[in-house]
Amino acid sequence: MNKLLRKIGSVLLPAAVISLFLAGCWDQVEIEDRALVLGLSIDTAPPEKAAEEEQVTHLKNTEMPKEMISITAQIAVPGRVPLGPGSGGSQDGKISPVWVVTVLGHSLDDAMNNLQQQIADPRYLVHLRVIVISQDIARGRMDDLDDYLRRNPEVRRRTWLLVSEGRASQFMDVKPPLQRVPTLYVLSMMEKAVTSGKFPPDYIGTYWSADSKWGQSAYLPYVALRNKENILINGLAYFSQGKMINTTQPLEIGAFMAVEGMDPGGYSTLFKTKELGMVMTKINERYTKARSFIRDGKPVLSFDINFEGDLDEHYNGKKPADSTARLHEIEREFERNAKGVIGRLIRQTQKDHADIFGMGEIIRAHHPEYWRQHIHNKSDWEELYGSITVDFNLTLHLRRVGLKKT
Amino acid sequence: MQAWKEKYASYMQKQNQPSSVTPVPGNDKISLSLKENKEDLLDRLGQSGDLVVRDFLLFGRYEAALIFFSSLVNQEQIQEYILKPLMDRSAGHPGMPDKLADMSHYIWNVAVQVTQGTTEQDLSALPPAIVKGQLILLIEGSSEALMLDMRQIDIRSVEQPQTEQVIRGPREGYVEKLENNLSLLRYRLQSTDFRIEISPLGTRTQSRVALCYLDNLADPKLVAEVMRRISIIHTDGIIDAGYIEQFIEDQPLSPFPQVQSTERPDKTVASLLEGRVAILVDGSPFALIVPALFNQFFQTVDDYTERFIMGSLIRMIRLIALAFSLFFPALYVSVISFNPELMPTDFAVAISGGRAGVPFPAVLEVLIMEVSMEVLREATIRLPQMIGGALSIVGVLVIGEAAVSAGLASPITVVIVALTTIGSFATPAYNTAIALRMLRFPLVLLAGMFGLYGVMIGTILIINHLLFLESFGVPFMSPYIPGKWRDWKDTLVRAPLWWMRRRPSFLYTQDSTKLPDSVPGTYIDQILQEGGETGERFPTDHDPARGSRNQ
Amino acid sequence: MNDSRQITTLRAAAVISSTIIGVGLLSFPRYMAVAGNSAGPFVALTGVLVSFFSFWLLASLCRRFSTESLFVFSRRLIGRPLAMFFTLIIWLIFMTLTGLTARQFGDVATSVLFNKTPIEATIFLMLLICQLSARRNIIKFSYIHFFYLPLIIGSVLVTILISLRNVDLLNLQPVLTAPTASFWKGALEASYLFQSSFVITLLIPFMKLPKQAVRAGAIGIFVSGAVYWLIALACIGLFGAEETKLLIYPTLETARSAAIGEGFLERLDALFIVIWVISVYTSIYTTYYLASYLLQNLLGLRDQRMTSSAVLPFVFVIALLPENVFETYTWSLMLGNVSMLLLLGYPMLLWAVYWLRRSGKRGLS
Repeated sequence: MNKLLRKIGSVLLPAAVISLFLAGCWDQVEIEDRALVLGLSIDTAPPEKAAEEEQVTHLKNTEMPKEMISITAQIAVPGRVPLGPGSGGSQDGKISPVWVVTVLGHSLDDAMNNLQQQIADPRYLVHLRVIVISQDIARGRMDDLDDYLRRNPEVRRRTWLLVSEGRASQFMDVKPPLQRVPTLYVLSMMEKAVTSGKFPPDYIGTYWSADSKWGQSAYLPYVALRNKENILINGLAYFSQGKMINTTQPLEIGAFMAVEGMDPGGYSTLFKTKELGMVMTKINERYTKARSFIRDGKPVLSFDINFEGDLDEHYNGKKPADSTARLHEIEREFERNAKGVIGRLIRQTQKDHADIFGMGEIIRAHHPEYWRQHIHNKSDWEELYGSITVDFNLTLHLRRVGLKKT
Repeated sequence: MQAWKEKYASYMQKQNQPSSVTPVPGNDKISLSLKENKEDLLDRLGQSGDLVVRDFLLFGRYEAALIFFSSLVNQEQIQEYILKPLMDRSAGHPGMPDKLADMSHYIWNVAVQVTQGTTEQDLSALPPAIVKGQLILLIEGSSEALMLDMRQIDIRSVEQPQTEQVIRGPREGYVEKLENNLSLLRYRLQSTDFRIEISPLGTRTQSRVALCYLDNLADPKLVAEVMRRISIIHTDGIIDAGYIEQFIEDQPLSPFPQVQSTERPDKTVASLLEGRVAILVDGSPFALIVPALFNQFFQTVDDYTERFIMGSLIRMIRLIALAFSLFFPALYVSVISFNPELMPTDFAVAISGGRAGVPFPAVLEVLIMEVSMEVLREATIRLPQMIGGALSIVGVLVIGEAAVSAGLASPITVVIVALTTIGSFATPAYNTAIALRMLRFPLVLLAGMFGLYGVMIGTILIINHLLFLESFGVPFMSPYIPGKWRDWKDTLVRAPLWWMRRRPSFLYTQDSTKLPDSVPGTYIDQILQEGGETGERFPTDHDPARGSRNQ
Repeated sequence: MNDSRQITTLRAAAVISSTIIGVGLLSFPRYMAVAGNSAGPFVALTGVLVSFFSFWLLASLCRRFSTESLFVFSRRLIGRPLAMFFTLIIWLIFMTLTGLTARQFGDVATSVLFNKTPIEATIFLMLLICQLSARRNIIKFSYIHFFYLPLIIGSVLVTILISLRNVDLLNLQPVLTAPTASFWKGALEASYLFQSSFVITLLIPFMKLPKQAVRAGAIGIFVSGAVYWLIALACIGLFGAEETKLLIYPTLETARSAAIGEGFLERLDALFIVIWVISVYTSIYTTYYLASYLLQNLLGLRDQRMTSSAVLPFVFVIALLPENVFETYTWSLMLGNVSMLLLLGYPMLLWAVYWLRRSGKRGLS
């Protein structure tokens, strides 16, 4: 009997301890009591704005760096987005499902704290999907951003970090008709660009990885706003020495993906041929083989780029594209054309000392001896990158011409 | 109880000196001595409580005995048509032969009024006849026994089991009377190895308790252990099998039942054949089966009567239902109040909209809804069927809908609670379903405190408890942990019957072979050949196996 | 039916590997990347071999005394006082190991899952379930490990498989590296994770085939070694060595980067942590069990029910001692050094005495 009592005791004791825990549900915050930040934009603010800043994390008289940033956050408002498919069509357009708040701060965390001071519910970055930064920020102070976002466990590594042409805050105000929540529209646009081969999967995590690698420079999507509503992927914004240095053209994203051999191919190229008139080809598959040598104490890289594609459009031509020979003609024409584009991109990045292709990584992997001798930090390679030789060969295979015979 | 102690002692004694009397099967003739015959026969039949030996004076002159199982024969008819004429004075039988050798012929022709019967000189043929419900008449000085068919299975008001319905399979359930239940068992298990030990239990009720097992098959240690545990019960009344269950289970503090109770004789027989032991109580329509393992509570008769692919799929569905009923509310609470990042963003935004007007935290909301669901369930069980149906509709539809529109609960919560309840009803064993339903409340509380970590801690506690639990010396989670691979054929999936060659190893049966080695091979050959025409050749391939199945 | 030698070789192997896969899983790739850059997986492999050697030394000795545990036969070999002294030290090591593991677990849980929950609550809850289950006998102990191992390995493998799609082979080249000082340091650090394979000394007296103890350990160590190796491979392959060095819990980041489908199931990190709780539980359970078993041995009690409760407050206090995250890591590295010395030295001492006595006996007869 005594034994049984002791047994019961051993069960009851933990139960009592657990009920003590009941006193506090420390981390419990109901989902509707959280201010879920869905999107964030970061702009620079002029120093004179410092006077307008609230004294939340520091007082006026403390010494602070001059630069200010202004962030605009999109916070989901519970109840505005109806549950279930399509039932709330009538509400759309009248009330915005998000609340857009703008605050100032010296650093990102400073600004986030100022933001918290202005809204009731605790803010959470767990559903932060898109961050838009303006070119000024990207060209200046990525350190602060990287540090805060990397340190914060709420931030996903699959968040999109976009560099905007012009002010970033205007991206928080777009009201696209295709999605209920504006940020989610930007998100789905980027995700779909990745699946259709229009853009490399360049999440913030990818950006960070490239940023820390010695043999590679980071790049980010470069976006622009057209007609106040439409978002355009305007190229790559690439970095050197941790700062944004230049951007590319949209078509050069295709060239970049070609050098990297990223599938699926998504870009179509319009060009004029000598005999066949205007032709447009669509790339479906890309495959690239990279080789590297050390020649005369300098690294040499050579890429074999292969495309598989279809003939998409063909007009104004004197001859029909109806035979293998004709297709070959188009292929040669395309190769000449694309070679120009890719060559230009490589030369431009070399000039900017931004190795977005990760050629240094190839050297590091294949020639560890050379690497250990010559490269001692990231800037060593970026310096060297400007002077290496890059060869490349292009081959296009047109497989199909669509439903029209000629 | 004293009687059980004696039984236990004598059983142990018998087990300790095995094979002292091994009756040689074959051509042993019936001897002329009645006493010898009787002893021999009783030896072969073992000690069964329902075995009746009726000694009397045949025509008031010769010593004779009737041997039969009281559970299988119609005793009134025996009295009327056999005992009455046979015990008649010899004066009433003028043509009675003088030679005893002709006596059985005479009796058959003149005395008894029974439709079927034969004479038999071979003693070894008698026990099987007895277990089939025949009555044996032995006469002193005669080397012939008379076998008379007096079999009667009493099926008074045998109804479909209420708690264990099947789609395909026998529709018989136990009734209250022990004899009827035993006859249902004997009718399905016509084997001389089948033993029934009967003794009263309970100082005032004197309820008769029957312990059933297959001799030469069930592990003697198991049988001994069950007898030991029954023998130490000291109570004044056993009203139902449930009383015994609570006295003999291993861990009374566990929420999980360690004894299986069933209303189905076919299930009982299947368990006996696996080497388990069944306990029946007079006055209870339930049989207890030990040892009972976690695995058993998710199996039904349908799994075996239906083809094996269907059986396996349905078992998996049941497992999903179990997971629903145990974890869903807790996971919901921890995702809503601790880890909203696990949901897709647009869904998270929408859900927070659904919860916008609800005044309680998710834990409280779920607890309130779950408790009211339990109340509803309990209410409908006690009500007559017609009102119960109406009430459940009112409860589910009206209260759920009203709660949502009144802002007391979010629509998703209603969905979760409904899924949980439905999931818990898909667990076949009522007592296990209850255990799991009750366990989800502490899980919800833990989820409310620690989120997913709390759910995990709770799960670890539950699983550890299951792993530590034993039922009559068999680990509760066998054959998963610990177990042999071959036992896995009857766990999450059910392998084809012809593939399950062995009985479960964790029951330590004396004879573990179910089928001869050759059987699985022939079926696999058949599957591999795959042609349509092989079907014609098929039966000739393995006549022995096929033949025995057709009977 | 109630045979005490019930632990099969496979189950012993399961105990060892589920013990080894534990709290170190999250930060392991960082150590490997620091030690060998892109050759991190190679470093891990060397570490596995090193730890197998020390395991072999111990297990092959224990195998010769298959009916007793180490703490019993060591008394006969080197005398009661000395054996008690070593047992005391081993006990201290496992107490500290339990405490520090619980602390590391608490740190991760606090910084990733719960910001406001006091770390005491998280740690205490974990230690409490260990205490509750440490009261059982060794057979049940092995059941628990055998049951959880597939769950642990399965979930880790799923995470790895998902992230393997994004692995860039360039990040893993060059595969080999010259064995420099940092390389060996990394290999040793890797081998520290495998120290709790010491649990085999507890299992051998209950094994069905004690002769296969070394084989069980080999299976256990190589299974868990493979898991660690794959984790290092996936992390370094996914992020590159430089980024891996920056991250405090690279494995967690791998889970955070993984997604099934496009946004259908993102943020696997919370789920990963949940499964990781199990693997931490199994390893703390083992060290806790060892600690209470050793205390029982020291005090000469009948079983460890009593001592398992007595150990709890001490372990809890040890868990709360380190000041911050970095101190926890330096402490556990120090502990690794000490126990490495002991776990190599003590069996060697025993071996030496064993051979001396044997040759002495032979000489006499």
